[in-house]
Amino acid sequence: MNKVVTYFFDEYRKQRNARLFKNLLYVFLVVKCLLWLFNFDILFGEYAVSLTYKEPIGFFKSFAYIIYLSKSSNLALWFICTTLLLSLVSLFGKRSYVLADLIIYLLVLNLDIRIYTTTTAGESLLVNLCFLSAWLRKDFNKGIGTYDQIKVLLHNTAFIALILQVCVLYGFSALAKWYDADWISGEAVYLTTKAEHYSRPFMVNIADPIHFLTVAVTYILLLYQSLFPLLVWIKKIKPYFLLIGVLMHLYIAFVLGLFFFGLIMVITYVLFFDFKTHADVKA
Amino acid sequence: MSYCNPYFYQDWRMFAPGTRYNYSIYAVYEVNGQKHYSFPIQEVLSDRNIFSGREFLNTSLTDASIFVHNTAVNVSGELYKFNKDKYYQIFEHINIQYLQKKHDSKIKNLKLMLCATHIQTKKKTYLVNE
Repeated sequence: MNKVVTYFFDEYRKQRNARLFKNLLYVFLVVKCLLWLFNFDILFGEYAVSLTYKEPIGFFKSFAYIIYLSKSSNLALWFICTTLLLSLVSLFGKRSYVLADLIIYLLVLNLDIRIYTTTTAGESLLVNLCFLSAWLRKDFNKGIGTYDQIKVLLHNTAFIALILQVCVLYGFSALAKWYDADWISGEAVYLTTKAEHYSRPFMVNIADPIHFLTVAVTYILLLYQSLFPLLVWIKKIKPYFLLIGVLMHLYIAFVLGLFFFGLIMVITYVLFFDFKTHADVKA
Repeated sequence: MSYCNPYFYQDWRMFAPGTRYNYSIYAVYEVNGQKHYSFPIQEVLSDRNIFSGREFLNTSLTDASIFVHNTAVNVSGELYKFNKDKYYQIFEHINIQYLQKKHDSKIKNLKLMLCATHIQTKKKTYLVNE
Protein backbone atom coordinates (compact mmCIF):
# COMPACT_ATOMS: atom_id res chain seq x y z
CA MET A 1 0.00 0.00 0.00
CA ASN A 2 2.84 2.35 0.93
CA LYS A 3 4.49 1.70 -2.41
CA VAL A 4 1.30 2.70 -4.24
CA VAL A 5 0.98 5.91 -2.21
CA THR A 6 4.65 6.70 -2.78
CA TYR A 7 4.31 6.08 -6.53
CA PHE A 8 1.41 8.51 -6.88
CA PHE A 9 2.52 11.25 -4.44
CA ASP A 10 6.30 11.07 -4.19
CA GLU A 11 7.36 12.79 -7.43
CA TYR A 12 6.32 13.56 -10.99
CA ARG A 13 6.86 10.31 -12.90
CA LYS A 14 8.12 10.04 -16.50
CA GLN A 15 8.79 13.75 -16.83
CA ARG A 16 10.57 13.68 -20.21
CA ASN A 17 7.91 11.41 -21.70
CA ALA A 18 5.11 13.64 -20.43
CA ARG A 19 6.71 16.87 -21.69
CA LEU A 20 7.49 15.44 -25.13
CA PHE A 21 4.05 13.84 -25.42
CA LYS A 22 2.27 17.09 -24.59
CA ASN A 23 4.40 19.10 -27.00
CA LEU A 24 3.86 16.61 -29.83
CA LEU A 25 0.13 16.68 -29.13
CA TYR A 26 0.16 20.49 -29.46
CA VAL A 27 2.09 20.24 -32.75
CA PHE A 28 -0.45 17.68 -33.95
CA LEU A 29 -3.30 20.04 -33.02
CA VAL A 30 -1.63 22.92 -34.87
CA VAL A 31 -1.38 20.76 -38.01
CA LYS A 32 -5.00 19.66 -37.58
CA CYS A 33 -6.19 23.26 -37.18
CA LEU A 34 -4.34 24.30 -40.35
CA LEU A 35 -5.91 21.43 -42.30
CA TRP A 36 -9.33 22.38 -40.91
CA LEU A 37 -8.76 25.94 -42.13
CA PHE A 38 -7.48 24.86 -45.58
CA ASN A 39 -10.57 22.67 -46.05
CA PHE A 40 -13.02 24.87 -44.18
CA ASP A 41 -15.68 24.98 -46.90
CA ILE A 42 -16.17 21.19 -47.15
CA LEU A 43 -15.92 20.64 -43.38
CA PHE A 44 -17.73 23.55 -41.76
CA GLY A 45 -18.66 26.01 -44.50
CA GLU A 46 -20.95 26.33 -47.48
CA TYR A 47 -20.21 22.81 -48.77
CA ALA A 48 -20.02 21.01 -45.41
CA VAL A 49 -20.43 17.31 -46.16
CA SER A 50 -21.65 16.19 -42.73
CA LEU A 51 -25.44 16.42 -42.52
CA THR A 52 -26.86 17.77 -39.26
CA TYR A 53 -30.16 16.93 -37.63
CA LYS A 54 -32.10 19.32 -35.46
CA GLU A 55 -33.15 16.83 -32.83
CA PRO A 56 -33.32 17.37 -29.08
CA ILE A 57 -30.06 16.66 -27.26
CA GLY A 58 -29.65 16.26 -23.52
CA PHE A 59 -28.23 19.09 -21.39
CA PHE A 60 -24.74 17.60 -20.94
CA LYS A 61 -24.45 16.40 -24.54
CA SER A 62 -25.24 19.88 -25.81
CA PHE A 63 -21.80 21.07 -24.62
CA ALA A 64 -20.26 18.81 -27.25
CA TYR A 65 -22.74 19.84 -29.96
CA ILE A 66 -22.33 23.63 -29.86
CA ILE A 67 -21.05 23.89 -33.46
CA TYR A 68 -23.23 21.00 -34.64
CA LEU A 69 -26.35 22.87 -33.52
CA SER A 70 -25.12 26.29 -34.62
CA LYS A 71 -26.48 27.79 -37.84
CA SER A 72 -23.40 29.91 -38.42
CA SER A 73 -20.07 28.56 -39.64
CA ASN A 74 -18.34 31.56 -38.04
CA LEU A 75 -18.52 29.78 -34.71
CA ALA A 76 -16.44 26.90 -36.11
CA LEU A 77 -13.89 29.44 -37.34
CA TRP A 78 -13.65 30.91 -33.85
CA PHE A 79 -13.26 27.46 -32.33
CA ILE A 80 -10.46 26.54 -34.75
CA CYS A 81 -8.60 29.82 -34.24
CA THR A 82 -8.88 29.53 -30.46
CA THR A 83 -7.62 25.93 -30.56
CA LEU A 84 -4.73 27.02 -32.78
CA LEU A 85 -3.83 29.92 -30.51
CA LEU A 86 -4.05 27.94 -27.27
CA SER A 87 -2.03 25.07 -28.78
CA LEU A 88 0.73 27.44 -29.90
CA VAL A 89 0.85 29.22 -26.53
CA SER A 90 0.93 25.90 -24.68
CA LEU A 91 3.57 24.50 -27.04
CA PHE A 92 6.01 27.36 -26.49
CA GLY A 93 5.10 28.02 -22.85
CA LYS A 94 7.23 26.43 -20.15
CA ARG A 95 4.34 25.99 -17.75
CA SER A 96 1.28 23.76 -17.98
CA TYR A 97 -2.15 25.35 -18.10
CA VAL A 98 -4.84 22.84 -17.11
CA LEU A 99 -7.66 25.24 -17.95
CA ALA A 100 -6.25 25.95 -21.41
CA ASP A 101 -5.89 22.21 -22.04
CA LEU A 102 -9.46 21.53 -20.94
CA ILE A 103 -10.73 24.30 -23.23
CA ILE A 104 -8.75 22.74 -26.11
CA TYR A 105 -10.39 19.39 -25.28
CA LEU A 106 -13.88 20.88 -25.40
CA LEU A 107 -13.21 22.78 -28.65
CA VAL A 108 -11.70 19.75 -30.40
CA LEU A 109 -14.63 17.58 -29.25
CA ASN A 110 -17.09 20.08 -30.73
CA LEU A 111 -15.18 20.45 -33.99
CA ASP A 112 -14.84 16.69 -34.53
CA ILE A 113 -18.53 16.07 -33.86
CA ARG A 114 -19.49 18.65 -36.50
CA ILE A 115 -17.44 16.83 -39.16
CA TYR A 116 -18.36 13.31 -38.08
CA THR A 117 -18.54 11.78 -41.57
CA THR A 118 -14.90 12.69 -42.23
CA THR A 119 -13.51 11.35 -38.97
CA THR A 120 -11.70 8.11 -38.20
CA ALA A 121 -10.80 6.32 -34.96
CA GLY A 122 -7.94 8.83 -34.74
CA GLU A 123 -10.35 11.63 -33.86
CA SER A 124 -12.01 9.63 -31.06
CA LEU A 125 -8.57 8.82 -29.71
CA LEU A 126 -7.39 12.42 -30.00
CA VAL A 127 -10.32 13.67 -27.92
CA ASN A 128 -9.54 11.13 -25.17
CA LEU A 129 -5.85 12.01 -25.26
CA CYS A 130 -6.61 15.75 -25.05
CA PHE A 131 -8.67 15.17 -21.91
CA LEU A 132 -6.14 12.91 -20.19
CA SER A 133 -3.07 14.93 -21.16
CA ALA A 134 -4.68 18.07 -19.68
CA TRP A 135 -3.66 16.73 -16.26
CA LEU A 136 -0.05 16.05 -17.24
CA ARG A 137 2.55 18.68 -16.31
CA LYS A 138 5.31 20.22 -18.38
CA ASP A 139 6.76 22.07 -15.38
CA PHE A 140 7.83 19.93 -12.46
CA ASN A 141 8.41 22.31 -9.56
CA LYS A 142 7.29 20.40 -6.53
CA GLY A 143 6.07 22.31 -3.49
CA ILE A 144 4.89 20.86 -0.20
CA GLY A 145 1.32 22.22 -0.11
CA THR A 146 -1.86 20.23 -0.64
CA TYR A 147 -2.35 21.80 -4.10
CA ASP A 148 1.13 20.64 -5.14
CA GLN A 149 0.37 17.13 -3.90
CA ILE A 150 -2.84 17.08 -5.94
CA LYS A 151 -0.92 18.20 -9.04
CA VAL A 152 1.54 15.32 -8.60
CA LEU A 153 -1.30 12.85 -8.05
CA LEU A 154 -3.17 14.06 -11.16
CA HIS A 155 -0.02 13.95 -13.30
CA ASN A 156 0.88 10.38 -12.28
CA THR A 157 -2.72 9.15 -12.56
CA ALA A 158 -3.15 10.73 -16.00
CA PHE A 159 0.10 9.17 -17.22
CA ILE A 160 -1.06 5.69 -16.18
CA ALA A 161 -4.49 6.35 -17.73
CA LEU A 162 -2.83 7.29 -21.03
CA ILE A 163 -0.78 4.09 -21.02
CA LEU A 164 -3.93 2.10 -20.26
CA GLN A 165 -5.80 3.89 -23.06
CA VAL A 166 -3.27 2.67 -25.64
CA CYS A 167 -3.18 -0.87 -24.20
CA VAL A 168 -6.99 -1.10 -24.09
CA LEU A 169 -7.18 0.18 -27.67
CA TYR A 170 -4.80 -2.55 -28.89
CA GLY A 171 -6.45 -5.17 -26.68
CA PHE A 172 -9.95 -4.35 -27.93
CA SER A 173 -8.83 -4.20 -31.54
CA ALA A 174 -6.95 -7.55 -31.22
CA LEU A 175 -9.96 -9.22 -29.60
CA ALA A 176 -12.21 -8.12 -32.49
CA LYS A 177 -9.65 -9.50 -34.95
CA TRP A 178 -9.50 -12.92 -33.26
CA TYR A 179 -13.26 -13.20 -33.91
CA ASP A 180 -12.98 -12.15 -37.55
CA ALA A 181 -12.70 -14.77 -40.30
CA ASP A 182 -10.54 -12.58 -42.58
CA TRP A 183 -7.88 -12.15 -39.91
CA ILE A 184 -7.84 -15.81 -38.90
CA SER A 185 -7.55 -16.91 -42.56
CA GLY A 186 -4.75 -14.38 -43.13
CA GLU A 187 -6.61 -12.44 -45.85
CA ALA A 188 -7.30 -9.17 -43.99
CA VAL A 189 -4.23 -7.20 -45.15
CA TYR A 190 -4.62 -8.50 -48.72
CA LEU A 191 -8.26 -7.31 -48.81
CA THR A 192 -7.34 -3.92 -47.38
CA THR A 193 -4.51 -3.55 -49.89
CA LYS A 194 -6.92 -4.31 -52.74
CA ALA A 195 -9.53 -1.84 -51.47
CA GLU A 196 -8.98 1.32 -53.52
CA HIS A 197 -10.16 3.65 -50.76
CA TYR A 198 -7.70 2.21 -48.20
CA SER A 199 -4.79 1.82 -50.53
CA ARG A 200 -2.78 3.43 -53.32
CA PRO A 201 -2.87 2.44 -57.02
CA PHE A 202 0.64 0.90 -56.92
CA MET A 203 -0.31 -1.17 -53.82
CA VAL A 204 -3.55 -2.37 -55.46
CA ASN A 205 -1.51 -3.53 -58.47
CA ILE A 206 1.16 -5.42 -56.52
CA ALA A 207 -1.23 -7.03 -53.99
CA ASP A 208 -1.59 -10.27 -56.00
CA PRO A 209 2.13 -10.96 -56.61
CA ILE A 210 2.90 -10.34 -52.92
CA HIS A 211 -0.08 -12.26 -51.55
CA PHE A 212 2.17 -14.50 -49.39
CA LEU A 213 3.67 -11.37 -47.82
CA THR A 214 0.25 -9.91 -46.99
CA VAL A 215 -0.68 -13.17 -45.23
CA ALA A 216 2.52 -13.00 -43.15
CA VAL A 217 1.88 -9.32 -42.31
CA THR A 218 -1.70 -10.15 -41.26
CA TYR A 219 -0.48 -12.65 -38.66
CA ILE A 220 2.37 -10.39 -37.52
CA LEU A 221 -0.12 -7.55 -36.96
CA LEU A 222 -2.51 -9.86 -35.12
CA LEU A 223 0.25 -11.02 -32.80
CA TYR A 224 1.67 -7.52 -32.41
CA GLN A 225 -1.63 -6.03 -31.27
CA SER A 226 -2.48 -9.01 -29.06
CA LEU A 227 0.89 -9.04 -27.31
CA PHE A 228 1.43 -5.26 -27.16
CA PRO A 229 0.19 -4.83 -23.55
CA LEU A 230 2.70 -7.49 -22.43
CA LEU A 231 5.76 -7.14 -24.66
CA VAL A 232 5.97 -3.35 -24.47
CA TRP A 233 7.28 -3.70 -20.91
CA ILE A 234 10.26 -5.94 -21.77
CA LYS A 235 13.13 -3.48 -21.86
CA LYS A 236 15.46 -5.51 -24.09
CA ILE A 237 13.05 -5.70 -27.00
CA LYS A 238 11.12 -2.49 -26.38
CA PRO A 239 13.00 -0.21 -28.85
CA TYR A 240 12.59 -2.71 -31.71
CA PHE A 241 9.02 -3.45 -30.70
CA LEU A 242 8.14 0.25 -30.74
CA LEU A 243 9.96 0.73 -34.05
CA ILE A 244 7.76 -1.93 -35.68
CA GLY A 245 4.71 -0.10 -34.33
CA VAL A 246 5.89 3.27 -35.62
CA LEU A 247 6.46 1.83 -39.13
CA MET A 248 3.04 0.17 -39.03
CA HIS A 249 1.32 3.43 -38.10
CA LEU A 250 3.24 5.48 -40.66
CA TYR A 251 2.02 2.98 -43.27
CA ILE A 252 -1.54 3.45 -41.97
CA ALA A 253 -1.13 7.24 -42.14
CA PHE A 254 0.39 7.57 -45.59
CA VAL A 255 -0.77 4.47 -47.53
CA LEU A 256 -4.12 3.56 -45.99
CA GLY A 257 -4.93 7.27 -45.80
CA LEU A 258 -5.94 7.30 -42.14
CA PHE A 259 -3.59 10.23 -41.61
CA PHE A 260 -4.72 11.46 -38.20
CA PHE A 261 -5.07 7.98 -36.73
CA GLY A 262 -1.61 6.89 -37.90
CA LEU A 263 0.13 9.99 -36.59
CA ILE A 264 -1.66 10.14 -33.24
CA MET A 265 -0.70 6.51 -32.59
CA VAL A 266 2.95 7.30 -33.32
CA ILE A 267 2.74 10.14 -30.79
CA THR A 268 1.38 7.79 -28.09
CA TYR A 269 4.53 5.64 -28.44
CA VAL A 270 6.45 8.45 -26.74
CA LEU A 271 4.70 7.42 -23.51
CA PHE A 272 6.39 4.00 -23.58
CA PHE A 273 9.90 5.03 -24.58
CA ASP A 274 12.66 4.69 -21.97
CA PHE A 275 14.75 7.83 -22.09
CA LYS A 276 18.31 7.47 -20.89
CA THR A 277 18.92 9.10 -17.52
CA HIS A 278 22.14 10.94 -16.66
CA ALA A 279 23.27 7.86 -14.74
CA ASP A 280 22.78 5.68 -17.85
CA VAL A 281 24.79 8.08 -19.98
CA LYS A 282 27.65 8.10 -17.44
CA ALA A 283 27.65 4.30 -17.24
CA MET B 1 -27.81 5.69 -35.42
CA SER B 2 -27.88 8.28 -32.70
CA TYR B 3 -26.76 11.56 -34.30
CA CYS B 4 -23.24 10.83 -35.43
CA ASN B 5 -21.99 8.27 -32.97
CA PRO B 6 -20.21 6.18 -34.13
CA TYR B 7 -19.99 6.82 -37.84
CA PHE B 8 -16.50 5.75 -38.92
CA TYR B 9 -17.15 2.21 -40.09
CA GLN B 10 -13.89 0.76 -38.80
CA ASP B 11 -14.28 2.34 -35.32
CA TRP B 12 -12.20 0.78 -32.50
CA ARG B 13 -12.13 -2.68 -34.10
CA MET B 14 -9.63 -1.38 -36.66
CA PHE B 15 -10.42 -3.35 -39.79
CA ALA B 16 -12.17 -6.30 -38.13
CA PRO B 17 -14.16 -6.95 -40.21
CA GLY B 18 -11.94 -5.66 -42.96
CA THR B 19 -13.24 -4.19 -46.16
CA ARG B 20 -14.55 -6.61 -48.82
CA TYR B 21 -15.77 -4.26 -51.53
CA ASN B 22 -14.59 -1.51 -53.83
CA TYR B 23 -17.22 1.16 -54.35
CA SER B 24 -18.20 3.39 -57.28
CA ILE B 25 -20.86 6.07 -57.16
CA TYR B 26 -22.49 7.05 -60.42
CA ALA B 27 -24.24 10.44 -60.24
CA VAL B 28 -26.52 12.01 -62.87
CA TYR B 29 -27.73 15.58 -62.25
CA GLU B 30 -28.43 18.96 -63.77
CA VAL B 31 -26.51 22.20 -63.41
CA ASN B 32 -28.09 25.30 -64.93
CA GLY B 33 -30.38 23.12 -67.02
CA GLN B 34 -27.55 20.98 -68.42
CA LYS B 35 -27.21 17.27 -67.72
CA HIS B 36 -23.96 16.09 -66.08
CA TYR B 37 -22.41 12.78 -65.06
CA SER B 38 -19.94 12.19 -62.26
CA PHE B 39 -18.06 9.44 -60.39
CA PRO B 40 -17.40 11.10 -57.01
CA ILE B 41 -15.31 8.33 -55.38
CA GLN B 42 -13.06 7.79 -58.39
CA GLU B 43 -12.60 11.55 -58.83
CA VAL B 44 -11.59 11.94 -55.20
CA LEU B 45 -9.24 8.95 -55.33
CA SER B 46 -7.50 10.28 -58.45
CA ASP B 47 -6.07 13.28 -56.59
CA ARG B 48 -5.86 12.08 -53.04
CA ASN B 49 -3.67 13.66 -50.42
CA ILE B 50 -4.39 15.08 -47.01
CA PHE B 51 -3.61 18.68 -47.99
CA SER B 52 -6.07 18.70 -50.88
CA GLY B 53 -8.91 17.74 -48.53
CA ARG B 54 -9.56 14.67 -50.62
CA GLU B 55 -8.87 12.34 -47.66
CA PHE B 56 -11.80 13.94 -45.84
CA LEU B 57 -14.02 13.41 -48.88
CA ASN B 58 -12.71 9.89 -49.41
CA THR B 59 -13.57 8.89 -45.84
CA SER B 60 -17.02 10.50 -46.10
CA LEU B 61 -17.96 9.00 -49.45
CA THR B 62 -16.69 5.47 -48.82
CA ASP B 63 -17.96 5.15 -45.23
CA ALA B 64 -21.38 6.44 -46.34
CA SER B 65 -21.32 3.90 -49.20
CA ILE B 66 -20.54 1.04 -46.79
CA PHE B 67 -23.41 2.04 -44.51
CA VAL B 68 -26.02 2.29 -47.30
CA HIS B 69 -24.73 -0.93 -48.84
CA ASN B 70 -25.19 -2.77 -45.54
CA THR B 71 -28.78 -1.54 -45.15
CA ALA B 72 -29.91 -1.90 -48.79
CA VAL B 73 -33.01 -3.92 -49.67
CA ASN B 74 -32.72 -6.69 -52.28
CA VAL B 75 -34.98 -6.30 -55.31
CA SER B 76 -33.79 -9.22 -57.42
CA GLY B 77 -30.43 -10.89 -58.05
CA GLU B 78 -27.67 -8.29 -57.90
CA LEU B 79 -30.09 -5.37 -57.85
CA TYR B 80 -30.75 -3.61 -54.54
CA LYS B 81 -32.77 -0.58 -53.52
CA PHE B 82 -31.49 2.13 -51.18
CA ASN B 83 -33.21 2.01 -47.82
CA LYS B 84 -34.41 5.60 -47.33
CA ASP B 85 -33.11 5.93 -43.78
CA LYS B 86 -30.68 8.35 -42.11
CA TYR B 87 -27.71 6.57 -43.66
CA TYR B 88 -29.13 7.29 -47.10
CA GLN B 89 -29.81 10.93 -46.22
CA ILE B 90 -26.17 11.30 -45.14
CA PHE B 91 -24.96 9.52 -48.28
CA GLU B 92 -27.08 11.77 -50.52
CA HIS B 93 -26.04 14.93 -48.68
CA ILE B 94 -22.32 14.16 -49.05
CA ASN B 95 -22.75 13.64 -52.78
CA ILE B 96 -24.82 16.81 -53.22
CA GLN B 97 -22.25 18.90 -51.36
CA TYR B 98 -19.34 17.37 -53.24
CA LEU B 99 -20.99 18.03 -56.61
CA GLN B 100 -22.06 21.58 -55.70
CA LYS B 101 -18.50 22.32 -54.62
CA LYS B 102 -17.21 20.80 -57.88
CA HIS B 103 -19.44 23.02 -60.02
CA ASP B 104 -19.63 25.92 -57.58
CA SER B 105 -23.33 25.95 -58.29
CA LYS B 106 -26.62 24.40 -57.15
CA ILE B 107 -27.43 21.00 -58.64
CA LYS B 108 -30.90 19.63 -59.44
CA ASN B 109 -32.56 16.27 -60.16
CA LEU B 110 -29.72 14.20 -58.68
CA LYS B 111 -29.92 10.45 -59.29
CA LEU B 112 -27.43 8.18 -57.57
CA MET B 113 -26.35 4.62 -58.22
CA LEU B 114 -23.87 2.74 -56.07
CA CYS B 115 -21.88 -0.17 -57.45
CA ALA B 116 -20.15 -2.49 -54.94
CA THR B 117 -17.55 -4.85 -56.42
CA HIS B 118 -16.48 -7.78 -54.27
CA ILE B 119 -12.68 -7.68 -54.08
CA GLN B 120 -12.15 -11.45 -54.36
CA THR B 121 -15.02 -12.68 -56.57
CA LYS B 122 -15.33 -9.45 -58.64
CA LYS B 123 -19.10 -9.87 -58.38
CA LYS B 124 -20.96 -6.57 -58.73
CA THR B 125 -23.96 -5.41 -56.73
CA TYR B 126 -25.99 -2.40 -57.84
CA LEU B 127 -27.93 -0.09 -55.54
CA VAL B 128 -30.49 2.26 -57.07
CA ASN B 129 -33.33 4.54 -56.00
CA GLU B 130 -36.22 3.05 -57.90
